[in-house]
Amino acid sequence: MTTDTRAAMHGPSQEQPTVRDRLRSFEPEHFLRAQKLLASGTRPELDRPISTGADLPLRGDFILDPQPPRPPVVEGLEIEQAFEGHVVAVDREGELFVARLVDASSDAPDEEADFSFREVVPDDRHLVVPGALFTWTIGLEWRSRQSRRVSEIRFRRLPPFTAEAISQAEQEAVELSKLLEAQDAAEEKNAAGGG
Amino acid sequence: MKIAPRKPDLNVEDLAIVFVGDFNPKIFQPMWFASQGLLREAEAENAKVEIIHQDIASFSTDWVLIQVTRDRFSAMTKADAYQSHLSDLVRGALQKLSHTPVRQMGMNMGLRVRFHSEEDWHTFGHFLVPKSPWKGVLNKPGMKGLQIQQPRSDEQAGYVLVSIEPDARLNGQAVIRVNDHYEMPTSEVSQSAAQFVSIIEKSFEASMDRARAIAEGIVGNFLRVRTVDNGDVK
Repeated sequence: MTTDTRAAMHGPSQEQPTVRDRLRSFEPEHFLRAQKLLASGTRPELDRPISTGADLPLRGDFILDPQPPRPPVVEGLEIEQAFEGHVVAVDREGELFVARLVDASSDAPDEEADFSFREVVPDDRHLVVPGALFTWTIGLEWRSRQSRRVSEIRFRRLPPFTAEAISQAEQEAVELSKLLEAQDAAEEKNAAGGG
Repeated sequence: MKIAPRKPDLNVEDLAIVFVGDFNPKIFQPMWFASQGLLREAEAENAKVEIIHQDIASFSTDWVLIQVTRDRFSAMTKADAYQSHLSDLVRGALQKLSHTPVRQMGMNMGLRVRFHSEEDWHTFGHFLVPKSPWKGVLNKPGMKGLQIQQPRSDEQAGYVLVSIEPDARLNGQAVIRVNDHYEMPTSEVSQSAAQFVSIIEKSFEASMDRARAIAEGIVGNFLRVRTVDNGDVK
């Protein structure tokens, strides 16, 4: 339905695309219903101009039937070694950073390693700051039924802490502080008593 | 029937986080994710866009498939190497759209079981679904799917649903799916996005570990049995 009375009375102008034009613009394999609708013969609502309300009469039967979506390109990644790292220090001039690595694929002890910025994709380089987290995965990646060995460093894009998480952390800090103060007081008391 | 199956290979097939609520699909374009710092710019530029429309958005990058309709949001990856990145992306998106009403959430993992022989594959079906109850009722009954549900053990509303089905295309393989499902009480739906962000933050890793443990557990139990009921019990 449209609020434009001229369109309802006189039909669409030459310049104005109609709902029918819009349906035709969709790729047929994505919009089976749209094609069925176009093939269904004369339907006045299809010849209304596109407007803020023109789609509304179609809403009931204009249900999209997209093809099954293509999955992500990476069909699988057989992990041979996976590390979770956090950046300890950054040397921007030297284009290096130092990171502590926790081996997520075995019980091997933590390691510290130097990385060149060149090992990080340009879109992630601004994320390389002290404390930043990343994953480093070495393994066999499957794309289009073909495998290739990969070594990928991907920086975490962590959302900012929620108000709840900050509040919880503050609460824990207060409790920890009270516990430490109580321990200090007890030790001082013991030391005074012993002296 | 006596059995001696060999240990099958068990690999992650896919991981997904799904929400049911009220969404505006047109928002969920690759460049929106990039502009919010949730995807790399190059990934957004090279994303394969299936469709962006007021009723549906669907695109994939190298590692993630995003699909949004007016009542459902889904983010899926095929490799568990991206587990933490999937969580970051979904939490980030939901945090940006914190007023979106979300009623349900599923943290899902699919695991593929590759048996070493077709016989082991059939045996696994007999192990899960004994065939004697079907004797005289069906000729050659075969398990096409099984669903088992348990209530949540935490304070949240919902359940854990495990589905096991043979791969219809590949004999000798089965898929175990674990759906860690959360429900939000109607009275709390207005605050639900923030609550779900918090649940993902606290529980996603544990949920994925539990899914692996469930799959390993059922396969382990299978390897421990020495007989199964294939319907030929005299």
